[in-house]
Amino acid sequence: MNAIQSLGRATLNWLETFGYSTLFLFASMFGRPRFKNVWTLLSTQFYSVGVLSLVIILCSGFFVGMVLGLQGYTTLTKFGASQAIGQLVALSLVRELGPVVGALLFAGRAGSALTAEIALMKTTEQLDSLRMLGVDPLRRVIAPRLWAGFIILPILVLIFNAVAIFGGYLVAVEWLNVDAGAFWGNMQASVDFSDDIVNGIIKSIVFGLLVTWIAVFQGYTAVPTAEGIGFATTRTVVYSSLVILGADFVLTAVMFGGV
Amino acid sequence: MLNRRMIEVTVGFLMLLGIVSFVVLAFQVSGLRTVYSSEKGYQVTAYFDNIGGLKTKARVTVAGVSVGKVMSIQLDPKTYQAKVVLFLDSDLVVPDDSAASILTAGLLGDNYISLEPGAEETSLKNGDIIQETHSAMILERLIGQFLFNKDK
Amino acid sequence: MTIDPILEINHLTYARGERVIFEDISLKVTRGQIIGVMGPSGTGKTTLLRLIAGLLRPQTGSVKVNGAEVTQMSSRELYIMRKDMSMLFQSGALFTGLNVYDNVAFPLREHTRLPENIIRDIVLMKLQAVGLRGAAYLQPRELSGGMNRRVALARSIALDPAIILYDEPFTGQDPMTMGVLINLIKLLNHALGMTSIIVSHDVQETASIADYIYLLSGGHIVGEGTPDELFNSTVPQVKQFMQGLPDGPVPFHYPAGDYQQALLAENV
Repeated sequence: MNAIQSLGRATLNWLETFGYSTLFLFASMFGRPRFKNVWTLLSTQFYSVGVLSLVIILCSGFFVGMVLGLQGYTTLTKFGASQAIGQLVALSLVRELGPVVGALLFAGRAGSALTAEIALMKTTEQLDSLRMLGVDPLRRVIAPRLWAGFIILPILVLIFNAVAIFGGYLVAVEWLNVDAGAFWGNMQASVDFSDDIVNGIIKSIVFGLLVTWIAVFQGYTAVPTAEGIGFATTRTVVYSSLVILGADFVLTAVMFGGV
Repeated sequence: MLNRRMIEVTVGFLMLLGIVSFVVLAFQVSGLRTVYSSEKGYQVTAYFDNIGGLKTKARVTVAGVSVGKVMSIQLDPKTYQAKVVLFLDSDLVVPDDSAASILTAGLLGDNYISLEPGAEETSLKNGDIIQETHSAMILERLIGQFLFNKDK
Repeated sequence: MTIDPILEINHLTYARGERVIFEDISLKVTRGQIIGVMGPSGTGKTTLLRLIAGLLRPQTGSVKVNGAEVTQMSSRELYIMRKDMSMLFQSGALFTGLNVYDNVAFPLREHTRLPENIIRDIVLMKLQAVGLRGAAYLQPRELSGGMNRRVALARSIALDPAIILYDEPFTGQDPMTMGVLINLIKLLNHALGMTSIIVSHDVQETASIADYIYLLSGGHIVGEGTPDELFNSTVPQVKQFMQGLPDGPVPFHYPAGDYQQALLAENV
């Protein structure tokens, strides 16, 4: 009986938190905008969330692409299908790896930074200060970060994919001597713009929203102590990762399952 | 220290990278082509008894070179044939007795349409109908024929 | 003729979850006074300030600022009320992304449409009042704790509020900084005609400037009066707190079993 009770209580708690976080999301994103320097706030966030993540995205993209090229080639040659390496690399990246790995990296780098920043502001009473000075922290602090994450992740994923495909090209064509014409030709024939590229972008938009939402919410609801900040940051990375993978399954089933 | 200028420059750079990546992905990777714009090509129709696995947006080739795409596939209610509309590059000039066949790319690949040029002097124009068509090779029929011939 | 109190709290009860923080608190503050709210750590003094500022809502009771009921206010009304009320947080709470100047200018830029050159004059005047005009372009992390608090004070008086709430202003400061802060609080209160409410557990410092003190312990007001009255009080809780006695109504020993038995026990 006790196990069921705690399960019930846990579920209710979870629902309550979920509801609270949804209200939080809407209040932040869609309240009346009353602040003046929208662009300044937003661009600062673009910088801290996007530009500072660029290095890890470029490096990871490059390596992922190269590994895909290498691994793909090794397996395809067994079937005499090494010509298909171009489409293997491109489809894997554009449909799955780009959005998912990109989002996981983003959660680790930008998501955790967002959580830590907001949790720190809460601990040092800056959020309350803002309220006392008549400013709603949801609109001033949280909203720009939400919009920035939502917009920046798709851009980062596009860059990741492009760099990764280039990495795959380097390995397959320059190193493993696959014919360049076959590489690009097969790729172009199999990658469909609206089915693959656009769906990949849609995935990254969804992931961007989910990761940023989790990150700012964990920061906002963190326990205002030094260890509270640490816990909140860890939670962001863990929850984000799980949600990304779960959402990816759902989206893939909807988008590509019918094919 | 972050100043306004550096923030805006780097964010601009990030956006630029994003746009470039998008363009690369769209054109180099997915082969998005301006064939889609209707000003730059012409349409011809071909009727097939069986299109097999042919899908819209499949390639149309001449001698293996991509010259267009399949625009639409419909069932003709009177003749029970498949009515396939091809969209061809505007600079493609083929005789109007050319034949259209549905072939398979590689062993397990997708179906595409191959045009074999004929001998006439007049060429295909927008709205023409291709007279000679060869349907897709259906594996079951082949096997059936093989068995049938074997029995004989 | 009775003077209307600027702040009036009646029968205030606040609980967080199942823990009752305080019960049935009532107090009055007249304009221009410096009021001390003191008590042992953890009795919810900071919570009281947050209730006054409308950052929290009580379960029952009323908080009236200038006759207006804070507990029923909409966020629009709270916004207007907060133009006239400032709070100095325990940690200073300066915005880390902005320098000293921008921190002090923040409320001016938010609530007024004054041009930048007038804002500049006001910011420099406020910084001068707390003695930090020379630090105007430093970043908060380059300031010491005491300087941090003084800048936060300058920010709190930027709009010349009628009421200013101090959350543990003296905690953790060295004697000189404490002296500076005490002086500033008193000076600003009289010079600007403000009302100050200081929440603290530093007895000597608070008693030296407060006109009237409320003593909060165990969720109730256990004593009130002028500093002298409280120092001479014979009520045990008041006496223990004011004189810093280690043992009394608030016991030294955390509840435990018998000492002798614990020492003689065979098993741990």
